Amino acid sequence: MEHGPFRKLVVLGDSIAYGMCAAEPENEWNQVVADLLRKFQDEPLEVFNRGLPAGVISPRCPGYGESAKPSLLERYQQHCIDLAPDLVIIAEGLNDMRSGMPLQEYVEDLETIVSDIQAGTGALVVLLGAYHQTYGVGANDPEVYPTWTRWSYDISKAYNLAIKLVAEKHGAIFADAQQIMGGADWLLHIDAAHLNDLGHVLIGQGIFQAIATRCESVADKTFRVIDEKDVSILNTGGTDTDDDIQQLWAAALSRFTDHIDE
Amino acid sequence: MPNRGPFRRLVILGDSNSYGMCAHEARNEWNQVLANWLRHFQDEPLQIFNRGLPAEVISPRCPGYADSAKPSLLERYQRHCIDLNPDLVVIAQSLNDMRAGMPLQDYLADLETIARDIQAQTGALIVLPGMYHQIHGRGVNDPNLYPTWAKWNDLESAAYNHAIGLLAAKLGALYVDARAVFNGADWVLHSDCCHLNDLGQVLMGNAIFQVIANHCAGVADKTMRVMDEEDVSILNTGGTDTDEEIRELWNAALERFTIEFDD
Repeated sequence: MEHGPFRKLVVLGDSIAYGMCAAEPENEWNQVVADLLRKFQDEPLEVFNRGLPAGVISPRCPGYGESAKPSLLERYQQHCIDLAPDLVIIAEGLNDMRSGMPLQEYVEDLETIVSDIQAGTGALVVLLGAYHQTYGVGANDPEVYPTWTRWSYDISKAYNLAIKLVAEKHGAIFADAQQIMGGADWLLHIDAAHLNDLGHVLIGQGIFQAIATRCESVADKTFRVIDEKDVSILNTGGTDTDDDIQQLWAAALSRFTDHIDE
Repeated sequence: MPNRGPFRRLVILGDSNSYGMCAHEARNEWNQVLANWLRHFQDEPLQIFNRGLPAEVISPRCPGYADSAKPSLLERYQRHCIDLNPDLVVIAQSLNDMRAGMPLQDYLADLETIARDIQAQTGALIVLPGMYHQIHGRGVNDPNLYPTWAKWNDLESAAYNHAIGLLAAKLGALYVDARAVFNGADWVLHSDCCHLNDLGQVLMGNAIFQVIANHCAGVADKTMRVMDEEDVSILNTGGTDTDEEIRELWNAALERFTIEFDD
């Protein structure tokens, strides 16, 4: 995939994209992704966090009346395309699913947004799937938030799969949030909906993995350093080993250097 | 799950891949990446014992044994693992066995012996990373330079990876699907076509951490404690690198989302 190194990252979506419920800012998943990209690519990266807590995807979402406005469909021109990004991560779906938006309508709106951003910027688009939450408590308690509890675990999985299919159709990258989280409730904040610090970091790592294994440019700095420093089996590894292991390896070393001697 | 964490003593077993070979920066060695993430999140200190031995194989019946670094893992796991009394053990052992053409059944039998014995004697949680892809025909996988270590193909590599996953399930160990982690990206490999470079090492360390973290609730202990102590909520988090407009839009909607806090 011919993308990167990346210079302008726009993060779109709802409270998840905003980084909500991460106690340490460095653990917000958008910061985890950005920090890993900065560490490995040979270019600086600027982040524009345009996640809007309580946002939904479009006015036809059943939760629109109570949501933070404007919806993503109403704001992606201003909050994304006008910023001329080369990398866009869209984490939008939780509130739409939670308020009972028909999956077909959600997919249509997401496709409109993705294809417009691709056409308007040429950016690589990454779509984060819908991760698992806990139903019936906290922000998912139907007694407290009737608007946002019109979902089930099966619908959550269907949203995650649909987002994957949209990514495949549009040549975007998909980060499988359900697979990353593995159904572990301890990755959620006590409100049962948002990610806690650990969940944020896992999602950030998962998104970085999806980008790094599809965009060769993420390895640019790594390869430059390998060349400049002659990185090889002769001068690497062994942190926290002991003398016994070092001596065992030294005794075998001469049988494994033919490719270096050439 | 035999051990939910937090973890205090981590032993890394295996070959050069476990040793951290070809990571230019020591902090990028995957065992260090894993250890540092665990330290970042759990409420206990963690000591790490890197007992990866480069050029090593799993047992004397591996066809590469004669050319390997000795002793094999089967001959040394008592001293290099059990005697250290770990509560978490990562065994990344298969590259050289597969590369030397070891029959998969023999490899699995030896790995099962080692893993079962470690479980029985230490009670440690065991993590088995699978086999990642390499490039055949060049670097240390050039059959003209290293005939002992070039007796493999990509299909056998995939079979090893899958078999390690089946063994992990059988033993109640955790499995990390290394092929899935790398998605066939050659640029995560060092130019020797076999070892992981710094990017590959970090991806591997992150992936092992992910599997441990989403199976072991103890890794979230610090997160849960801080959440309680600091009243972490939607009212005081998020928004790094956002702008004033987004903050105002959120503020305008905030009161509709704080019912649980008002109760």
